[in-house]
Amino acid sequence: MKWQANKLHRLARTLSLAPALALMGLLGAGLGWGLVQSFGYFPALGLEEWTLHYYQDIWTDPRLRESLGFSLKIALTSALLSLLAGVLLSALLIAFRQSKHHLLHLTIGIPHIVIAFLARGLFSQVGLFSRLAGSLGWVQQAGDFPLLIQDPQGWGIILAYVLKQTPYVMSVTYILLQRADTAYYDLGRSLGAKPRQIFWRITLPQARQALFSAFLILVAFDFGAYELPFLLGATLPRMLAVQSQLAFSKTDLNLRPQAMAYSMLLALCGLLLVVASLLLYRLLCRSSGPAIPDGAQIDELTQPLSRPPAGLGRKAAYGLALAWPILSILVLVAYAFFRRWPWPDLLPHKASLQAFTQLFRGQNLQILGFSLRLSLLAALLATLVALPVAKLFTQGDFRGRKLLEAIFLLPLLVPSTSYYIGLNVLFIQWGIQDSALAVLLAHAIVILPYCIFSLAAFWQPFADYYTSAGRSLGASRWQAFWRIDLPLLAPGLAAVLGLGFIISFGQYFLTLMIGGGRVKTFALVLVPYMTSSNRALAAASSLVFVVICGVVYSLCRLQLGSRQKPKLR
Amino acid sequence: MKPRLKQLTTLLLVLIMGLCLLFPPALTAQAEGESSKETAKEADEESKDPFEGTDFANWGEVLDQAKGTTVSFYGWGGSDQVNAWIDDYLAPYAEENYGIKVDRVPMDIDMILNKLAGEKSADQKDSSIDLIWINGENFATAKENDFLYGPFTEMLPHYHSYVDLEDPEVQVDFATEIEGFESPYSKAQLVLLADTDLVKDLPSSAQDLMDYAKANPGTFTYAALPDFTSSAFVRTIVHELADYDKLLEADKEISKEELAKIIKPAMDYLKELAPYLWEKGKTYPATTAEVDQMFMDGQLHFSMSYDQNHAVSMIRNGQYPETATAFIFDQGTVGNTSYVAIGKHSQNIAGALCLADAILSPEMQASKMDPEIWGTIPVLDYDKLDEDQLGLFAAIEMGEGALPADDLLEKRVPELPAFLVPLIEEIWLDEVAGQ
Repeated sequence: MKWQANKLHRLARTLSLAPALALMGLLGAGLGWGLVQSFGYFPALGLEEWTLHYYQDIWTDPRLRESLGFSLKIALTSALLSLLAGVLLSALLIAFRQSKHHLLHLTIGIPHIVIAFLARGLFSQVGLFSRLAGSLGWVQQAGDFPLLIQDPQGWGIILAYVLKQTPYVMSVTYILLQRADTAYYDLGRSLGAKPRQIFWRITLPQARQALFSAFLILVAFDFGAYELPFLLGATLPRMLAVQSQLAFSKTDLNLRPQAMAYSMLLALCGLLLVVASLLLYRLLCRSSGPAIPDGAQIDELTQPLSRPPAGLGRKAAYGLALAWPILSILVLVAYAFFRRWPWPDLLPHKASLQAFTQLFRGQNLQILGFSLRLSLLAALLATLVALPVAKLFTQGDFRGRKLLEAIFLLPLLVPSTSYYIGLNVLFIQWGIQDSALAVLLAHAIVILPYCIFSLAAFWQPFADYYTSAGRSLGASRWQAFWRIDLPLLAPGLAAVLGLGFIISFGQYFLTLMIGGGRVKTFALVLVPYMTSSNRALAAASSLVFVVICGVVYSLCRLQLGSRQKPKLR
Repeated sequence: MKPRLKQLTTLLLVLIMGLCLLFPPALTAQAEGESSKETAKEADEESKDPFEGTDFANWGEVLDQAKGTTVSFYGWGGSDQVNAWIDDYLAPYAEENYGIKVDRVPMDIDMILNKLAGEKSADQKDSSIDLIWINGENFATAKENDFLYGPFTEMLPHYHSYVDLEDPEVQVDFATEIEGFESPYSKAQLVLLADTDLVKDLPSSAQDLMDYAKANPGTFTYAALPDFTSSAFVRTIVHELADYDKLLEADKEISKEELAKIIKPAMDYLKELAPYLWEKGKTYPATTAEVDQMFMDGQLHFSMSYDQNHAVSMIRNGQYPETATAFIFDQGTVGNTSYVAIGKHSQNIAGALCLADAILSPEMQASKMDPEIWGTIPVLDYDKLDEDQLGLFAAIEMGEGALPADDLLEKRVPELPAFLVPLIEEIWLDEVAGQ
């Protein structure tokens, strides 16, 4: 009986991976179609010849090498710096309260177009810091303020990515610190080591696996995303992702296969980058599976960490971590609620609510309501589908693990331009084109990697330990999951749902192309305003967006509550 | 909360989320329901092809079929003025006079074209796109690739009544023959904007602008091409300094090298101007919106817009200084007409025809001209209007910072053939930005 139940269980476990794999299958189909088009086969445009000349044209473009080199530089630098900053800040902020840490996790989901807007509001020559410098007399004219963004070396892009991604890294590191072995800590202290030494030489090396996963996500994403480099980069050199996206806007449709070729090249390079990083990692540190904590360490997990206060360093780090979100909100408020703000005034003039009355005109409120429901649903779907996969990733190394990781990383790596046509064609064949269901599926594909890897990170510290204890006391698998795993996972689930919601809520390109304009989301209202001259309207819509994300996340947290100590006795 | 209670509420939340699945599809079910009514009739209509010829008796049929339907109007949604005009003026007018509802879909034209290409890829015969706001090279592409329904303009009563059929801009769009595949919508012209507080003498020519920039470096710039507005600015410079007439007649097969030779004086000008621009021309802002924001905050003395009413609307909503104004060069600036076209596989062609007709009505063209609302130049022939209708236009007051329509139209430079535009953009990237 037992082994039958076991077999059934194994079957169930494999099947539970099916929805996630199905979603990736959709992505694969879309990519396949895109690949075919990149070879020149686009009958709708009258192109029926298979040819490599689109690839050849790209390869012979003198600007390609520059573009590629620039893209690699930006992606690697951004990811590395985010990692370093995140770990550093975490080290200083060890006693960070739990609720705040989960909030940090969400900044990675804020749409790039909003980040670019905020970066401009803070760092441009008419931004907040420039105004400060001007008011203090350090610069005479706005033009004298150094160019922090839109510089040809790309530091503006890197800065924006680092600001966006550091909180995410901090949040991941915090989890790892939480599960850190206080036993080792006490041992180290007793041998005379300082807390910082223990952090750098014991805790961090144990965390390297998870940190490396975070690095992979960051580098993959930074390589393939186009909005930030387009809005914050100099005219030349262009990142490959920007070149690819611009190719899709060319009016000569006969060049579409070339645009597809760019997308494919982008996807390929991203993949190679990830593979190269993996190999390097293997070379530098022999990867062992995540350490399974033993009994003494586990008990410490549920107790507050006893760390000595770090004094000034901690306060500085705290200030730094909070400065960026707070200043951003201030800038948004200034732009949204005020009309005129000539340089170098520190305070804006002419208060007005006009931007908000314009924003909530007509159908926009209905669109907002619909959008909320759609994104909540997408987040829920993605989270449910991600659960089995995340569980699998907490089980340590197994054959094919790296392959599965690569598959689920795909949506982050490949630009949506490379698969949206194929996806659309598939939906047309199924008869669900231009419908909310199609958009839901497309969003789920995009959200999935975040859900899987974040959940796995949250789950890692206590995966299996409590459950096996519960099982050994007679609980069934389902009971163990429902009453032990889930409550422990709850705050993580809230963060993941919140993250999924933000990403879905901010999706523009996919919603437009898969929904065909029929499915109207708030992003469709937001994005055109972000690129228009009406700055007040852009700020108002961004503010509404950010506030809504915050509210949704808080509701999720309230519902799912804080972590409880599971009752084993 | 007790664990059991918490589980129950979580379950409830999940159920509610599940119920949400019922709502979203309803949004499309409605649209599909209406359009399926049309499909049966459309199938008959298209095989008989009755929209050929100028048989006005068919218009009654068009009206009958259109009544009670929804027309989706796809076009750029980045201007709140335009959005508000469509929602608050065009839609009620269309409902009142034709019984049609207008569903405005904000979508950039390049995305619309991508969508049409995608639909064609999948052999989709029921598109959600009815009416499209389009012009220039985008129209050329759409027409070439058989994305559009037509010819249809001859069917519209207002087209015959009020449009000047001899006007070249009605026959040809960026040098592409229209042949009835798109109907006029509005006219726009590139204008430069300046803060008269800072700029005492408005430049009246490209050379004036160069002199000002040299005297006041860092106060002017334009967005990197292929931005829509700055591309028009570059073409304006080409008109002033190069052999524009030769370009208007350019052969479709013209090579990049030949073109570069013709527009060399303009490129030389821009290269000479570069070191006096913002950031010494080493980089250009990504979008015209950025240029505008730098202008608003006083860093730049100039901005530009393809919306001749831009200064008026921005002064009115308080974001521009009150001393801002629009101006153009003595030799003129490029202007174009934008049009509406019908998607080939639209499910509501009758409705789209009615909407195109509504757009051509004097009432709508006049309301569009009002700078308080949108402020674009009408596409109608004043000679064809009667006194009452003319009165509608005469009643419009120009706002602060506006340029009179006559002035603009006098100094209006026709747009270049569509196929030259991307080539010019590439040449600019090579010769000016790459330095």
